[in-house]
Amino acid sequence: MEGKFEAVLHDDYYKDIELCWFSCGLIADKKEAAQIIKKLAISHPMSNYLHLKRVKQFNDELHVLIKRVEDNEDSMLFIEGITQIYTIQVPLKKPLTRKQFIESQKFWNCHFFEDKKLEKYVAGLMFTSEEIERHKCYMKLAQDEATKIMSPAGGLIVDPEQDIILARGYTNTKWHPLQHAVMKCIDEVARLQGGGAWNEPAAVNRTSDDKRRISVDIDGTAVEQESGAPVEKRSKIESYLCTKYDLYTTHEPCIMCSMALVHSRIGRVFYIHPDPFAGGIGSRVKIHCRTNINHHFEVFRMHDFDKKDLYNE
Amino acid sequence: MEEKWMSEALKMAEVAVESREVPVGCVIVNNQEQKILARGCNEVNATLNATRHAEMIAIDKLMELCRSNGGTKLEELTPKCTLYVTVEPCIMCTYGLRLVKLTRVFFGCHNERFGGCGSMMNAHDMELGGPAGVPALLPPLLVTSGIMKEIAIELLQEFYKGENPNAPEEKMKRKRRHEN
Ligand SMILES: [Zn+2]
Ligand SMILES: [Zn+2]
Repeated sequence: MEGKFEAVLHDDYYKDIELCWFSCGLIADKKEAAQIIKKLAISHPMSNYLHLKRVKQFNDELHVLIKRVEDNEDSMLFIEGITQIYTIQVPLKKPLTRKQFIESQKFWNCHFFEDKKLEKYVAGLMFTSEEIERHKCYMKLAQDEATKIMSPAGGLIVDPEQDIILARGYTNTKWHPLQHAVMKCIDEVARLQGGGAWNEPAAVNRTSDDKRRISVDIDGTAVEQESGAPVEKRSKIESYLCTKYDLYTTHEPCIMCSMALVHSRIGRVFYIHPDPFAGGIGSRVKIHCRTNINHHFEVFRMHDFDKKDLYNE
Repeated sequence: MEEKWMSEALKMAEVAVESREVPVGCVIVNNQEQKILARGCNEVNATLNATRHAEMIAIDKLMELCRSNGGTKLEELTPKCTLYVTVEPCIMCTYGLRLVKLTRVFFGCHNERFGGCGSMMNAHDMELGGPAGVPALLPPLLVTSGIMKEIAIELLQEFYKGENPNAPEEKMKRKRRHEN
């Protein structure tokens, strides 16, 4: 079954449009339209509603917005040159996506500048088919990580530029309540860069030659190879925390792990299963979308990529 | 009493300064015995791991203590303990504290950039239900702020003053690593 990618974006991009009431009227004499609009711009500026066009032509009549009408407000208005004043619902906010724009236009004409990249993300069409295959392969390896000790979750940190796996981790809360897959992967990257804090229990200790290169076969299966490049040395010099790296995790990171990814400057995050109770990048909160946070990263949820699909290749 | 333990946390923040880490320190105190069980300060630079905040270090120390005591479970010990930390725990640490079932926190100054106990997010008491039908899995944190905050702020200001904003790229990177 072909899976789908969903870009986990700020709620604003997916919201239905909101409406508000405006008083509106007809321009009695079209020849005076320019002058009336000029006067209105001074007496009733639209500074908070710049997305709305002031005038709309309808049935050969010119309708002009006058001002926003709050609830319960008596909207008796007398403006020279404007007749038949009525109230109308118009879009409250600037449309961000084409979908919102089309919806907005049904109520009133709006200004809209299409963001081509955003449209692809909203539609879930941001990856090429080769990229999709690669993401699937890495996610499969993250799932392998989880099954190693029957852990609830597994993760993988990858340098997408070099196509190299840098860290693997699985949730091991039986050993330590904060050893979530993500926290372990972050620490593994630190160790690769000459730092690190956690020593794993001896039984599952890993050596540096676990860093492998992955390539994708023509038929889409993952092939792991011993990495030729001296990964450790290169990483030490070039990388800073997890900057530009990708995380593949079977489960949505919890709030702790999500914030750890902000601290670690991760590049992108891919996950399959949402966490409706404590998910930090989609389900409960969207930490990566908060405007007041100093680092933002892209998040993608992979739909219909359950274990069966990935293992039945 | 709070001031006594916060002074201990501030001592840890000074340890951090000596190793050029962001000056944040903490102690975990056993309520009944009134004894410090674990200490921690920022170790982000030393470990090249941006998640090694004072609270995480102290939790690890507590975990070690449990292991060496054989049999003691961390989740049984933590509800009987109080955390004193010089700066409001960040969102990551706040949720981490809830995961280990610590329930009582005193902190000094607020953390306007990352604070999880009200400044940026209410991670300390947002309701976290369990799977269908199961009551909340994680108890909320009871938080008191402002204990000796002037000293905590002074330490931070002193630290950031020492940073040279005109440093070349490499140094700037190191500086950013300091962010808590
Ligand atoms: Zn987590
Ligand atoms: Zn923290």
